[in-house]
Amino acid sequence: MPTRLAVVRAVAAALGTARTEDEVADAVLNAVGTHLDASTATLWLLTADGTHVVLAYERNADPEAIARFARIPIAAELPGPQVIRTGEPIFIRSTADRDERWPAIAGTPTPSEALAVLPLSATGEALGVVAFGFPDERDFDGQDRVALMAVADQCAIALDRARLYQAARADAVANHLLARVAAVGVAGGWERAAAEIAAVCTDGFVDTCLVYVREGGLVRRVAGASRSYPEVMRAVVDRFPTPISSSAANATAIRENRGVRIPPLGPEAIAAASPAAEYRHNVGHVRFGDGWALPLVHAGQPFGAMVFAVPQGHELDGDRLRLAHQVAERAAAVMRSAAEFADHRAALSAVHEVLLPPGIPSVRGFDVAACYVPFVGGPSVGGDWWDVLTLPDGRTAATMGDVAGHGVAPVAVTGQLRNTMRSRLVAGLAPSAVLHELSELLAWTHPMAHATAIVAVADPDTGALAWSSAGHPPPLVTGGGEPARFLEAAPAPPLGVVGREAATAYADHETELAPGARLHLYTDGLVEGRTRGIDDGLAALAAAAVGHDDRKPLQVRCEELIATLVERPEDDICLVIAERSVPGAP
Amino acid sequence: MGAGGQEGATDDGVVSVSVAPDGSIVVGGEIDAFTAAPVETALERAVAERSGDVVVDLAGVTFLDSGGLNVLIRCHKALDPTGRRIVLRHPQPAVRRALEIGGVFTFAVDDG
Repeated sequence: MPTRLAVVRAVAAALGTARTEDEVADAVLNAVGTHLDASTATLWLLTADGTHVVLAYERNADPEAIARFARIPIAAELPGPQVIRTGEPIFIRSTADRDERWPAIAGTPTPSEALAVLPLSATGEALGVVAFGFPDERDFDGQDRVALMAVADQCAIALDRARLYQAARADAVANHLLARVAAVGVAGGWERAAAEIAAVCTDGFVDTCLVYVREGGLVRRVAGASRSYPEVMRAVVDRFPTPISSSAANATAIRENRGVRIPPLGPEAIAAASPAAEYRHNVGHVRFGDGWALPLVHAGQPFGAMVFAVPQGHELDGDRLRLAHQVAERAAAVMRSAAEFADHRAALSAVHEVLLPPGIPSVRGFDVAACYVPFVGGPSVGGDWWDVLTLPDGRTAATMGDVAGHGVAPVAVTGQLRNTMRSRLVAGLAPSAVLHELSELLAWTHPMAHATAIVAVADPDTGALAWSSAGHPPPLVTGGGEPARFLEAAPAPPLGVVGREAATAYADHETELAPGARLHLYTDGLVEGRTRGIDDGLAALAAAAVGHDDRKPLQVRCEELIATLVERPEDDICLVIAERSVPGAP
Repeated sequence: MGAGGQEGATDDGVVSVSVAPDGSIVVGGEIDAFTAAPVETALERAVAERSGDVVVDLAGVTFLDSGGLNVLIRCHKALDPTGRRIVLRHPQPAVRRALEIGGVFTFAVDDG
């Protein structure tokens, strides 16, 4: 052996930079042929339950021996288990020496003659053994033994450190993975959410992740991602939905609402899975270690399954299996809320078609912009409306309102109010008369509902504006060379509140819009927020509206105004801006 | 919490509701669509179980938005057919402003 101290130093230096178990094994086994004059090396690790020794790493070992001794019971009368049991190294002078002392392995082929089997233990705990084989008979003198034991000690310390490092890292990785799954967006629909979750899972957790949902009597794959076999994801599996009654792991997981282990996948399992030639052609080369099918559950009912698979030779158990369960739990919640979100959006868009103008109406003398931002976080849908139309006398009318009520579908009331307002305005009623009629109508048809509303009618030639409000937030007028002002008059009750003073509740108010002036109608969602009072909200609206860049198109300013004022909508938000054209301007 | 606090008194940290010895409903905190439920429950009980006007003391209310206005409006609508009224007392300036803009004082009695 070369200078023994130099060997120990070199191995220790290599181990010093090894952080993972793989790196530690590399550093030790690479000493074969570099620092040590050994010809073979094997590293065996004690299983977590302490019952077996597993051949984890090797250099130049005999293939037959690898196959035969891949996993040995700790009680076996063999050198490795004995070293672990006693904590004492074993030095074997020659193959003949070995065969005499361990008849059980007499005749096993080995590329080496002499063998040193050394315990790996750290802080009093047995981790495994490392064995070095040498090409010639060897007596292992005292200095030999000290040097080899020193290498084994360094290796054990590095292994212990690597395990601590990996455990800490595994925790961090697990938390990171779960956070990434939970953060998958729901706005794109549940199938896209499933695809993103599968992609996240194959980025550092498992090799392959598949997502299935039950559709009637079939289990259909809806998403999948794979590091080793991406082409399989695009190939044949999609065309083979599984009957829910089948014994396949994914179907069983859904049917019985439990995790189902999938044995390692190799040629036999593939042949057994399907006799279809196309299937074998596409999948025949696939090899996996452990796999698990875990149910996706909502409200106690499994609606799908996730399949996780790790590479050949690896296991998916213990902490990693627990993590897979947690991932499936989170994935189910994310897919569920994505589906609910989509339902909600579908309902909203149907509502929009009925309630809101199909586009921004084109009216003479005014540039009009309108935005409707539905609140998607709650159950009430379609309480706000807006409308802009040209009246028979050439004037422009705008209406807006916000319906509230118990046990009333605001959407039905909203449609009724908007359309009735249209017809009464076209019939020539003044804004106050429209509100008065609508209030009576609402109290009669929907006694439990009420609504704030505003009606404004403007003359494009003179700028004369008539308006009336039913408890609605005050319109804002900006531009036209004048300071911002809110149109406020004596308050009037919301529609549907028909009290003793109802007959005189609504009044018409007059003002004038200068050329270039902008009238803003909005619902309270724009100015209310849990952190500010109504006056603060109005002041913020006025400041934002005045400060806006006039060169931008009005519709852009409308959208930006909402974005400026409301970070996260807590209510539907409606905003209509009508800008009086400047005569002679293009 | 008032002496009448045994009767459906609530204080969840955001909104508090209790009934004073004179029968008035004492409300405090922030009232919006998300927090108004206990206030509405107290008002509904007053409408159903008492006679005369329903008096609401708003002195402790620091925030009131349309969700809170809706509760008062519904209370009024329930009272109006019987000739009773809702009486609002002691709103802070910002709350008074919200009540005015919402047109609440056109049907509710403003008791200062």
